Formats: sequence, C-alpha cells, structure tokens
Amino acid sequence: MIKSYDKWLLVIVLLLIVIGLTAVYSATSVTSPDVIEKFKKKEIDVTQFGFLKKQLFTLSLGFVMMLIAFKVPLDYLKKIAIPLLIFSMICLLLVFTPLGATVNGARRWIRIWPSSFQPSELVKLSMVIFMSWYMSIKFYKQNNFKTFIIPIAIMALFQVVFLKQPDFGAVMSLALLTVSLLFLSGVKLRYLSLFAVLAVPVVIKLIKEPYRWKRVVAFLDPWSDAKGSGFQLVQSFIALGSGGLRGVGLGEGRQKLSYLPEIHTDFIFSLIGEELGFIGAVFVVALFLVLFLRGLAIARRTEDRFSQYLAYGISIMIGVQAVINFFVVTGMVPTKGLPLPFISYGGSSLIINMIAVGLLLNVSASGSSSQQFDDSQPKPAPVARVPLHRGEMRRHKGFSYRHINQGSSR
Amino acid sequence: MITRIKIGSLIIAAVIALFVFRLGYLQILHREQYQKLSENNRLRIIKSPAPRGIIYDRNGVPLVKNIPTFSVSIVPENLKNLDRNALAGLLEMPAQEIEEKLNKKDNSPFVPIKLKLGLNFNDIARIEAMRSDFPGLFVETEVGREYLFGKSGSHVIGYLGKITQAQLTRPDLKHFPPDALIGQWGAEALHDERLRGTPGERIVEIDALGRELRLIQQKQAIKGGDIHLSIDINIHKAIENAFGEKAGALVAIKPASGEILALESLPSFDPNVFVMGVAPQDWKALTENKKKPLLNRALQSQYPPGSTFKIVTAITALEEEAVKPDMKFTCTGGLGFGKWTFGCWKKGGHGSVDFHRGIVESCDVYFYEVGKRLGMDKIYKYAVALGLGKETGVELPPVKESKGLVPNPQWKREKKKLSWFLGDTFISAIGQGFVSTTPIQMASVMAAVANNGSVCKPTLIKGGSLPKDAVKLKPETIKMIKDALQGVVNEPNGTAKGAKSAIVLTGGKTGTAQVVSKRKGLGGERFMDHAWFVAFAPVENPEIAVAVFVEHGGGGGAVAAPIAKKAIEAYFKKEDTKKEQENRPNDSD
Repeated sequence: MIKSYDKWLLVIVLLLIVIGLTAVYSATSVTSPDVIEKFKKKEIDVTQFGFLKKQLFTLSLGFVMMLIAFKVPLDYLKKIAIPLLIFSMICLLLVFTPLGATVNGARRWIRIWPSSFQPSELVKLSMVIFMSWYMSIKFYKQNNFKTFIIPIAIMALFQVVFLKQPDFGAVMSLALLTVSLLFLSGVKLRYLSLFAVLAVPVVIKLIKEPYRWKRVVAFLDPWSDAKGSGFQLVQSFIALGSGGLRGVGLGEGRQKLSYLPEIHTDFIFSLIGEELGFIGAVFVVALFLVLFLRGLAIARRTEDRFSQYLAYGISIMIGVQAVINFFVVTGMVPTKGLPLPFISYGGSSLIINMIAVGLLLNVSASGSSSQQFDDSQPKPAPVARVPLHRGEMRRHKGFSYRHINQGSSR
Repeated sequence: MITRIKIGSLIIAAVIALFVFRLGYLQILHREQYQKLSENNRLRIIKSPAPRGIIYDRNGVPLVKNIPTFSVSIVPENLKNLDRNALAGLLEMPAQEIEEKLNKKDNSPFVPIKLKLGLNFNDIARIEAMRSDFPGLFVETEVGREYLFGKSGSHVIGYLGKITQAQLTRPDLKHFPPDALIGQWGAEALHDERLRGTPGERIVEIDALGRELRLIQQKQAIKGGDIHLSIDINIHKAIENAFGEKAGALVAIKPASGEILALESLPSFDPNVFVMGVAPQDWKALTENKKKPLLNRALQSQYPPGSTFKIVTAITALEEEAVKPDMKFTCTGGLGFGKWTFGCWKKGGHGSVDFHRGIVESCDVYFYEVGKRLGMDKIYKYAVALGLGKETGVELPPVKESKGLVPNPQWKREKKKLSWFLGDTFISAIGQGFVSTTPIQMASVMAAVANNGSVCKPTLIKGGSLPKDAVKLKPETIKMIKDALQGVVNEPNGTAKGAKSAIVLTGGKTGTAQVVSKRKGLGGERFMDHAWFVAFAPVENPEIAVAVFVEHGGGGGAVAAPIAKKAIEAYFKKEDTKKEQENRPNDSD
C-alpha cells in the first residue's frame, strides 16, 4: 500500500533539486583553465558534464535513501536514536584518522570510495532523531534542569569535535537546531537564557581565533581586503549585484569563470542571483519558506510526539542551513562553509537532506496511523495540544485525521 | 507551544524579510555599481614594489641604487582577439617569443603575463600611444637595481635576479609572482628578507581597455631595511686592476672584531647584467669562461698555503718550546733524510739560520728541523685552533665555503690508508703537500696572530663583532712572530719587500704553493706556482689583516705582496681622508 503523503512537499523538493542541477551545470560546464587544473589534481572529471554526472549519480542514490526513509517504520527510528548518534560520533572522529581528508586546511571529510563523506551532515540528522526521541520519552520534563542539560552536553560534545576540524559553521547550525527544538518543546526560558549567557564568552573567545577573526573583519568590511580575505564576499556581491532584478540570463553569469571561489558549492546562491536575478533568488527563498511551512504543518497535524518533533526538527534543520547559507552569501554573517540544501554541488548534504525529506514524507503519511500517545505523561507538552485536540477524535482506529484535515480545508 | 511556535514563526518571518531586503539592496539598489564592476573586468590589483633597502659599505658609501625600470604585460583574458604580429611589431620582439610567453603552461588567466622587461622611454611612448589597439596591455613600473661599483665587490654585494622555478616552490617564496626579482647572490640573497620591504597595493576599478576608472583602495609600499656591510669599497676599488689578467682572491679582516674589510675574488662579474634577467649570451660567457668568474675564490679555492703556513709552525715551535729563538740550524740548500733530500727554495742554502732569519728569509730547512722536533700532531693542534681545516662560517649564498685541510697521521691512516712519514711532517711544516687553505682562512689566521691569538668569526656586517676563541699564546711568542713578520717586509733580506709601505709599518709572510706538474718540467701559465701573501698593519695595534692569493701567480713576494700593499694603503689613505673630513669644520650647516 502506498501511503498517502504530502505531495506538495515532494514537488517543492523536486523543484529545488532541478534548480540545483541547473545551477550546478551552469557553474561547472564552463570553467577556466586554472580551475580545471585545480580539480584535475583532485581527480575530478572536469569536462562539460563531469560535475553534473556525478551530482546525478548522488541524486539517484539520494532517491533510494529517500524511499527507504519514507518506508521505514517510525518506531524503529526511536530504537536506533542513540546508536545512530553514537555512530555519527564515530564517523565524526574518523575524520581525524588516516581515513580523513583535509581540504583547505579543514578536516571535515572521510574518504569512502569513490567519494568522500562529510559526517557533520549526518550528525545534524542524528541529533534531530535523538532529540525527537529524547523529548518524547517520559524522562523528559520541560521544567527540569537535568533533562535540559543532557542534550546541551551532547551538543557541546559534538561541537568540540567540530571545532577541532575546524568547522564553525557546523557548530553554529547544530546549536541553532538543538536550541530551537528545546525552545519548541517548552523548556523553561530561564534555562535557555542561562545557556545563552554562558555561551557568549565561549563564542567570543572562539571568534578571536586569528583565522576566524579575519573572516569576521572581512565580513564587516570586505572591501578593505578585496583581493585577500574579503575576496570571496566581494565577488559574491558582484555576482548578486550584477544580476539585478531579472538576472543576466541562465548560463550567462561571469562570476563562475573562476572569479567566485566555491561558486558551485557554498556560493551557488550567488550564481542563481546573478543569472536569474532578484526574481529568481526570491523564488528560491520562497521555495524554502514553503518547504519549511509544509514541514511545520505536517508536524502540527501529527499527534505522536516523536513524529511531531521529528517533523519540526527536520524542517528547522533544513531551514537553518538555508538561512545561514543565504546570510553568508549576502555578507550578513561571517563566511562559513555550509552548503545550500538540495542546490549546492556535493553528496553528503544532498543525501542527508533527501533522507530527511523522506522521513518528513513518512511522518506526513503516517500521521493518521500513529498510535501511542502517552497519557501517563503528567504534563504533556503543549506541542501535542493542538493536534491532540483534533486528533482525539482520531483515536478511533481507521479514522484518519489527515482526511478530516483535508476535508475541512477544502 | 502554540505561543512558542508563534514566536518562532515571527522570528522566521523577520529573518526572511531581512534577507529579502538585503537581496533587494544588493540586487536592485546597488545593481549599477556591481554591474559596472562585473562588466569592466572589475578590479585589478596593481602591486607597487617596495623600494629595496640600500646596501652601504662600512663608511656609509652606498653600493647600490634603486632605479625604476619599465616592463610591459598583458592580461591573458584579453588574448582572444589579439593581433600577435602587430604586438610583436609594437614591442620589437619576435612573434615567436611572444607566443612562447603567452602559451606557458603555468599562466593563470587573470594574472598579467610579463612580455618585455627593461623598456626605454621610446618604447613606453610607443606602447602608450598604441595601447587602445591592444586591450589588456599595460606598462608597469618596477624597482630595478643598479650596482654603482660594477664588478668591484660583486661577490659580496651579489645581485638581484629573477626568481627561479625552484625558488617558487619554496614555502616562503610561493606567493611571489613568477617574474619577481629577489636577491640571488651575496648580501642581496642573504639579507633578502630585510631588504625586500612590503609591496604596496592599489586596488583599482578598470574598464575593458585596462584604463583606471577609480581608486578603491591604496596601501603604501614600505621600504626595505638598509644593510651596512663591513667592507670598505675603497679597498675593492684599489685592487680592481691589481691582479691584471690573473685570477685570485683577497680577503682583509679587522683583527679586533672579525669584520671583513674586503673580500674580492677575481675575475668577478658585473651584477648589473643580472637585474633585467640575464641575457643568454651573458650567462654563457660567465659560465663558460675558463677563469670561472662565478667561483668565489676567497671562500672556495683551497690550495696549499705554502710558506704562509710557517707562521703556524713557528707559533707551535715557540709555544711548545721545541726550539729556542736563538737556536741555529745550518741550511745547505736541502736536508737529507734517508734516501730523500728535502730542498730549500734557495738552492745555495741560507747558512746558519735562527728563528728570526728563518721566517724573514723563509728558510725551508729551518722549518724541516722545527717540524722534526715538533711532530705533526702538535702543528695540527695549533693550526686547527687558529681556524684552519674548518669553515670560518662566513655566509655568502649561494657559495658554499670550502673547509681546507690540515693533515695529521690519523687522517692519513683513515683517508689514504697510509702511515705517516717524517717526510710528511717536513712538507706539511712548510705548508705544502696535503695542507690546503682558503684565502679567507689565511686572512683569519693572520687576523688572529695580529690580534694576539684571539680568533674572531669573520662577518660581513658592520659592527658585527663576534665571540672570540682565544688561543692562549705567550706574549713573547707574539712579539717574536710579529717582529719576524715585520722583518719579512722591511728587512733587506725579507722575502716581501714589495709590500713595504711608506704610509704604515706592515708585517707579512709570503707563500708559494707548488703546482705539482711543475716538477715534471712543464711550462706555461697553467703550471706556474700559486702566490700567497698574508699581512697585517700597523704592526703595533693592527687594524687590518690581509690574505692575497694569486692563481698561477708565481712567487708570493713578487706578485701577491704588492697587491696586499695596495689594499692596506687604500684602507689607511681613506682613514686619513676621513679623519681630515671629521676635523674640518662642517661649513654646509
């Protein structure tokens, strides 16, 4: 039986993927000789279709993974929440073994033939699954400091490893993700404020690190070192700015001619802005916004707490990454190496995000058939309140909340 | 939760709105500015080289000058519609050469390719007039270097030259452009980092023709630091022609500090030919010249020191009390030993010779006798203590200093697999046979003797007096030696009367390194002996110690001594003029 899932969510994701493939092709089909030289050394196929082919290959793998994620029983995820988290930690630590690969001075990848994998992407998803499980078990209480500090400690542990790589972008996105989830679960604001206050000095100390400080300075005034630390940002501005309202036309961009480094990965949004203009860029932003809202809607109409948090978590995970990427390319936050989900060239991010979407679709489809709601929880999270309210009707077997919802919305 | 979702949604709405505003700001409000940057090939970084530090001699005379030189480059991005033949005509260079430069494998598409260096003003005028026909072509100013004294002191001063492929792979030089000029030889190379300075940068917005539209940012170049060398260029100038056609070297050291007052190796080269990229024919001439102008004979030539080594033997003899100064040996022109006869250079013999006469007349037989009484191990000990058989430690890249050799029985056993004979001691005692030294080592020995036994590490930096290794010598020894060396120059029977100066009382010792083949009766310059002369002046409180070495020069007294005299007099004459200048009231103020 094919579960009835949120078709619009799938359409949006497919649209993003198609835009991504087009942008990656545009960015990599014409490359200047020095870029070709650079990639030849890494043994990457740099002919016209080389990058596209590899991305398509990743994509097909991504679809398989997405289908598996869609089919996997959600209860099973609860069981593997902790093992998965441990597994991601192991993967993350493998980066420091000979299996790890260093690119531009950062050890963020592990080599898996024929490609490489970035464990930090896996960590984000594992954290979402873990948090969803953790916040839905009896042990978890919003007003208990002990239960609050455990996920914070786990997060901090991952962050310490991220810093060793170093990967400040992953530190920030994991923090945003975890804290947002805790916030949603109804944790006392006092705890969150305390955490925020304690985090400030740590962040300041980290930012003072010379190479990061350079980036911060470059971000504050990229023109002061337009050929050095501010180069990438200035080139990104030029890409976006020269695009104007309607863009220079698909494939007509100039910044990809080796002016803007990493245009096919972290800075792909600049290419979209250059070639498709403000209209194209806002369209992409709108797609992510709709994706995010669909995710929230799925969460809202699910009454199983785990599934609900999972849906929130995945929506936030994708949303946070997209927003950080948008802010980076427009110089609103200091430069970090974070890809734009579904659009940037690169396997790890694409596959993990497709798995995440598969899970989200899974939740959307199983919202009706989800069973246990733990009544014994003395003070159930308000999360459940809304769906609970409507879902209570649905506790009669075979009665799908989703159908009611759809029916009522028409 | 509902409220929290609402709060979250508000935050997200704000974030998205903020971002869309930012996009609009960049893409709509500032579109024109960025479009211009994009269309006009945007930014060009024009580096303005930093003026290089100046190298001075010890008296503050500048040895080099920075001169502007002009070069023409093209941005490879503009190559598509380039009329290469027309460009060849404009630059007056073969089209093929341009083609080669443009097609080099390591060209990067946005880094200008340098086409021609060392343009004159006519070239520049012509290029500027025609530039609109060649987009991407532009003239750059660079800092060139002029060596004010040409060949004089070139081995020390060195030269600035184009960076080599090998150097470009070094981590500290990796970021240099492929045609950068860096110090390649001598002081220019050794102190390159200090002399280099920090290049300035102008970030300009340019149009498609390479015309500057607007200055975006400017960073001033910072001049490199100056270097004050210990050498006295007057000495170098004075001896420039003293060697004539001969090859050789001269090293002068200030005994009290180890500062090198002069270090010349002849023939030398004109550093000016290297600055604009050495022309192939010039390079060929330098490397194929049989006299090897690029060889630094002062540091690298190692030859038997001949009789100059007798200074070491004599010191050993007095210190070890092997002979009394008034003890006399009879020289009959040779010393028989077994079936061998070791000859004295004076065929008729010196007759009865004491310590003083032994040195003044350089009697070989006297030193055979001394050697026999000392044994080689003792001579070895003093020779090494005075700095022979090891590098003096002068740094002058890319030259690698030779070590020279002081033999002893152990060395002969290990290296030659032969046992040491008394005959070996004889010939070693007079500085022949296996003994070999470099000119800088002999200058160092002379300086140490002049300095009463304190050996200073030679340095090329002014004021760079360095820690001393003292060889403990008795005052009587020093007095005896200095007296004798003074006699060599000033007594009627002395072997170095050619070094006698009217200006300053000089002491010295001649030496002749035998060229082995001579004994076989071969003639011609190739088989003439090498001439040595070491000297110091004034005898009381010496200020300068000199070693002169003339390849195939013949006798040390006849050839090398006059050169040393010139160097010493140049030093003291200048001292006089300087003192006069100092005493004269300064009327320019």
